[in-house]
Amino acid sequence: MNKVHEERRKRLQNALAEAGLDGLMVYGNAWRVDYLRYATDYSVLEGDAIGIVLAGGETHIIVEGPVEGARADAARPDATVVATDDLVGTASARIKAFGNHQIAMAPADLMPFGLATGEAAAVLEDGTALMDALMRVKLPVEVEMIRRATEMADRGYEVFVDAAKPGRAEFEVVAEIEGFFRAEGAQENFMLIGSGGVEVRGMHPAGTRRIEAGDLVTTELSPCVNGYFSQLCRTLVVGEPTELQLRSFTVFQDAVDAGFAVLKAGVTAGEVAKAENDVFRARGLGEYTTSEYTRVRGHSLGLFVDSKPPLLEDVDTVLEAGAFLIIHPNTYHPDAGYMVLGDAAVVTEDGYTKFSRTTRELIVSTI
Amino acid sequence: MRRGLLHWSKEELPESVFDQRVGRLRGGMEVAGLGAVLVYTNFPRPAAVSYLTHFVPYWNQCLLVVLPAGVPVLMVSLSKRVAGWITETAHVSDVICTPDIGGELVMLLGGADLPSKDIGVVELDKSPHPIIQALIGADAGYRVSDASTLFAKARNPADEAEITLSAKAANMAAEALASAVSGSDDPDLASIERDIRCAGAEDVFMDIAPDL
Repeated sequence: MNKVHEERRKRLQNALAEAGLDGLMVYGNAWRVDYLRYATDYSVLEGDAIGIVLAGGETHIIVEGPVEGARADAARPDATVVATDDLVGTASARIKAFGNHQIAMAPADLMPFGLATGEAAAVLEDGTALMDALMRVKLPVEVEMIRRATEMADRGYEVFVDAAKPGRAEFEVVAEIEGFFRAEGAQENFMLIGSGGVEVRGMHPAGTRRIEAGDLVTTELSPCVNGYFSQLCRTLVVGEPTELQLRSFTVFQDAVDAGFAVLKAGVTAGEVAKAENDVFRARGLGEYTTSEYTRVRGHSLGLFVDSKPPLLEDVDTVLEAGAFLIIHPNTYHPDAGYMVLGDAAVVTEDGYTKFSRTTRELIVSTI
Repeated sequence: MRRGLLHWSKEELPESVFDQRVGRLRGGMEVAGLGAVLVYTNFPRPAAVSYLTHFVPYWNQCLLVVLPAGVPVLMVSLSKRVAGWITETAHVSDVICTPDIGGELVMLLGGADLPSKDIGVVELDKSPHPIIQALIGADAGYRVSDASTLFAKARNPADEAEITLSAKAANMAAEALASAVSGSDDPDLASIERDIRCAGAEDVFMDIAPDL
């Protein structure tokens, strides 16, 4: 058992004991693998998976198909692995076999309909909040994974700058980064891209547009190391930036600074978001902090790249020491187009610890 | 996340292909007496919705609603800023961006004048409980049933467009693999990742059997 899993397991067992629970059932797929990974140290690739962890540590992993079964067996030789064509039926039967045990399930909003309403449902209670609390505050061993993922993001961005040259299509630029991350052992990556001028309103999956001189090219790189995601958001200009582009970018730099200036244990997610947005409002750009132009002003990170809480002004979740989040006031600027800037940090009692070394200046890509 | 090229070539896949596919599903709906068919999708489970609309959820979760007539409606838990991108890459009549897919679904069906309250759901048991529960709990008399077999009948056999694209994907894989193993006992997987995405693949999945 690796150190990260061992320490997560202890926390989970303690949490189950405190809650008076006999076990936990977690659901996962390649999009939402966080709950499954935390509880079982297994990341499903194909299909869906159910993990059942009992007080005491006995672990069952139910997956779809023999290939996934072989993977789970290799990853968790100490667990009971079942590969099945009937995930819901098999999981229900397992839960039912545990009798009157009180089992929590997570995440409730993704639990399959057949499990949430079937025979097993009677003994299942919502364990989402219990798991969210565990995942929100990172252990030192988890922070080490985060540090490595952030360092990988820094290096990946160097590859991005080299690749984002005139004539390259967006999908070709992303392909270069994917090749790099694969060679470095990243397990996953969340990456959007945008290119163009003032007409660009946001980032998107890579398309066929070819980069041109003068373009702003935005991206968020989110490599995953041993399950843990970090993220970096940067804007580069292809060739010499205009005065307007440089001036526009300062609001993003100042907003990130403002967010970090208030960041420490005890502040709320909303307070951090407000600090960022106040910078935009002070410059008459308050409209661009609304949902018409931007989704969130940052978010938590960990075993999922877009974890709770989001950084929004109406979110009163208190940020604890050990929380890991990114501050990114990404939005549309009417003078330049869509711009992004974001850095991730671990919250401490007195402030934060940031691992990224990539400059927060508007990146200039020489042609 | 799907990080490869997500782009709709209407030469490779004309809108008529999707109209025919949805038409086959709709034929089954009528025979089964269903008022609508729902197809859930997320990025690890894109196939059914992609087959019907070309849409691939690069992230998050979505629900396709096939009504008795018209091009299907797509509900997505994605920012409204990507709605334009979705309509460029998918054959859907409307994109509803919402954090509450279940709630929006109830409103859509309520206003749709359905011929029946029987709603088919592809892979019902594996669809997220809150979405289905919103429908059942809407106090509108909806009855849900599994529509997986119905979809499977409409899904098969593969049409010419699918066969052509499958051959294209197979060629991409063969070329990338040949390049990676050329003159080496230790295939460079990273180069496969890069090369196949540069060739236009929307994703690549690699399995290795090291003990062969």
